[in-house]
Amino acid sequence: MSSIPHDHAAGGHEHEHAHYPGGIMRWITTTNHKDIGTMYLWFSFTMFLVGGVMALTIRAELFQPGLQVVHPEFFNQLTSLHGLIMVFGAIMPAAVGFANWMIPMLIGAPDMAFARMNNWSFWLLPPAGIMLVGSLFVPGGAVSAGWTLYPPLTIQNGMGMDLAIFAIHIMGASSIMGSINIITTILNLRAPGMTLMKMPLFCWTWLITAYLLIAVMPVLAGAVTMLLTDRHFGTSFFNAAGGGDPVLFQHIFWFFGHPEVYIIIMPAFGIISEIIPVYSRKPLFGYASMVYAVAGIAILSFIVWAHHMFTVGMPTAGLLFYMYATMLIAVPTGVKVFNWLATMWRGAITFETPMLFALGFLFLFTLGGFTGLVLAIMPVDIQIHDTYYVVAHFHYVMVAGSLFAFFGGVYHWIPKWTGTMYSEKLGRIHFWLSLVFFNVAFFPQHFLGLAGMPRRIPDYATQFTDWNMVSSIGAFGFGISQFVFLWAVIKCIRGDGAKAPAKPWEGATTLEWTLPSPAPYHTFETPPVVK
Amino acid sequence: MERTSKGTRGRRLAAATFAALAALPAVSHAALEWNLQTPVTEIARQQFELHTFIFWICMVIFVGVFGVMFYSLFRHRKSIGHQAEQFHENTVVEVVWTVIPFLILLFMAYPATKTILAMKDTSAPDLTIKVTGYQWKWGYDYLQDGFGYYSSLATPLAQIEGRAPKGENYLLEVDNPMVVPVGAKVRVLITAGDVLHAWWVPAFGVKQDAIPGFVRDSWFRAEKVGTYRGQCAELCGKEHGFMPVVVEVKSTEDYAKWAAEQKQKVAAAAAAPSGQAAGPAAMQAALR
Amino acid sequence: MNDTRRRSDDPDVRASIRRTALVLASIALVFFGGVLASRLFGDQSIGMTVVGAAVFLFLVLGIGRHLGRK
Repeated sequence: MSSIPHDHAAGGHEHEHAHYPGGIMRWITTTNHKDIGTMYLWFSFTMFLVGGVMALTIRAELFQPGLQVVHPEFFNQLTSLHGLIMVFGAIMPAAVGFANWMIPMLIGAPDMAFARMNNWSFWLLPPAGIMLVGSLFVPGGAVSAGWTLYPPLTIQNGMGMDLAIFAIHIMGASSIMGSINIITTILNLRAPGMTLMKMPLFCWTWLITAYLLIAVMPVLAGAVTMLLTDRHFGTSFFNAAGGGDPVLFQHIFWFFGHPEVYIIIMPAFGIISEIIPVYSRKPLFGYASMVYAVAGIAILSFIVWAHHMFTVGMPTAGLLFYMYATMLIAVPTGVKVFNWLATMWRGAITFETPMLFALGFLFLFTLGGFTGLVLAIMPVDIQIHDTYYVVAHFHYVMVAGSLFAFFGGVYHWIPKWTGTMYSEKLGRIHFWLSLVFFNVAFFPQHFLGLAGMPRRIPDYATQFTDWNMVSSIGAFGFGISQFVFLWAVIKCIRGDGAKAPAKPWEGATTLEWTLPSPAPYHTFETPPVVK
Repeated sequence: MERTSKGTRGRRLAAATFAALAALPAVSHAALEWNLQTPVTEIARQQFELHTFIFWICMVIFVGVFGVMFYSLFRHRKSIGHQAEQFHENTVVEVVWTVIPFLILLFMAYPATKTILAMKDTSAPDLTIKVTGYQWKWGYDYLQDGFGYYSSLATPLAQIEGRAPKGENYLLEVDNPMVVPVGAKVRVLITAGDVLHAWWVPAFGVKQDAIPGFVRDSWFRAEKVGTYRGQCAELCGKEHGFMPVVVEVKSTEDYAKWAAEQKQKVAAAAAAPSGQAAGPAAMQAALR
Repeated sequence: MNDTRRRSDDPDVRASIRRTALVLASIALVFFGGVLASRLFGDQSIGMTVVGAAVFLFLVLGIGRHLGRK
């Protein structure tokens, strides 16, 4: 993890005022936003591979009907941990990694507002990750009630559940500190002349995301704390026999969970909004309406959570309210998609890898948005709730949505990070393989869900066989394609490639491109002046 | 009828994939599934039609929006010498594409609301059955007739573990299915004995979580005699995938005969000295 | 190190940073405490409404304060 000193690549000639200890101590003690961003990104990629191996084991079991590879109890542990690790270990830290690297440079700040807390935010994550993965090896195995941790099933789980609870507490603390840091940085350390409405959109999406995090991570922490006391200290928050209510957990969880999905997607929106104007050589269309759309989505996200629970049996008025509110989210989301299209309209478009990923994002995320709309229609949701249709839907928005945007972001900014241009050939191969295999893996799952295959089952009826085989093959292809990405990134870090100029992209206008490539260890110590 | 409506895109994709997979031994048991199961209740039919309706609206928007995108990608490329214009605002356009989606949503919400109101109307049932989810089987109690029994997976372990060829209804078969008369409004009261489950019969359009300590209800009126299969739809532990729901819809006479038999068994068991009770009655006692 | 003082070391900026962070930390505390407390007494819909209103209020205050300044 510590083998990626981004600024070694260029021979270290820009090190005049970069004083840090050598070796591993540099990474443990660093308070530099770039180092911490790098660590976040590597942590996230590592967790992505760990979660990915779990996903592939799941897909191997589901390749054909019958039990071949794993036992049902272990299968449930894999699905649960895959979800927890991908959400809390892979996607969220990746977004924070981008925030750490880019926000200070985008707003012309010297570093994050709380540099030492930043270090702590990161170093809380590896122990939490180890606890999650390690819980597979404790007696009783890892949590096996799904990443949603619904009681009473979680009350039955063994010690692995307690480890998961503590891991969530720790990751939550890390997220909250990271968010406080990001908001404080954005609100206080912008370069003179950089008003809020002049900030690059990535800063705006992260500002709003960070508010969401601060509002909902404590709620999740509260929910899992109640699970913990129910498990060990005789309370009965969620135990009907003691006057509690198992459905209450679902309400609290999804009060966190729905904003959480926007926490996952909004930094991706920000990255896409940085990428598309650059490769279209045209300013972002409707900047102000983009900001309002993100804020609108954030506010709506707090009042739609129960659409994840349409089958628990709510009163009619509740069903109608949550259905209407959920459908309403399509409006600001549509505004964003239309704005991106209008940004490209009559531009001068080129298709470098970041743009390819942005286009892939746009196409597939919108598809995921449509299946989301289908799911929002409560009577239809009754049929496809907790089926593979839902699995397909959220992988379209999380993998083809967030992950593709993050890939695009890495290719877009890696010249600035390492001082070396990535290999366009490898980037393209990575994009096309990912795009094709992603769809082979997840598109058939729509059909499986419609035909009636429930999610989280280790074995299935024979009429689901064909699509499951297709899906498993796609999943393995997708997994293997990611090594192309790893190779492309390592090549850049080793300086194997063309030397990157300060501004490698013709259409780039934001502040980070005024710095040399690779970006010096300390940047904007004297703030730039923004007109 | 609508079995292929879910996208030619998927079919092309499937064709391409299958071409690549030609070398693999195909274990094809049935035709490919594309869409929701054939509905046999009014509610399920409305859900089906609602899905088709929304699917086509989405399809039209999707083609329209991405038609524009691909046109732009094609015509506004730098490589064919297109010069970038620098406009970045247009209030009229922005208002239009905020208002139009809103109107489309209203258009979708109206039929959905009607279906929801129909789904929630559990009044005046002809028959009420209490469904209890257990780890890992279902219990059915015929409250008006005073009998009840368990319903658990009938697929032999050998089939699951691959030691025997898989049967036609692999994982979707039970020892004692729920039995209901055709054309009757059946209200199901759903609860659970241990953890969350969900009682789901796709052909009826009923999916309701079973929550320990709470009773929820739903209803269906099956229009055709036959056997309908579903599964537990809420993760409930290690055998979550192995607790199917099977409902047998019988003609009114056949149902009356079946119900009489069940009642007789209960009576016989009550007459016999306790401890030697017959199977179903013992189960019934356990269900109480 | 270089002797240009960073802007983030300016006492005014420092104080303002600290103020922002305290407000944000208080949000987190209100929500963590709130969700537990609302369950210990009172029903969930009240708790959720209060929490939802608090989100909105904090958001408006947090952003509004800074919009007004510039």
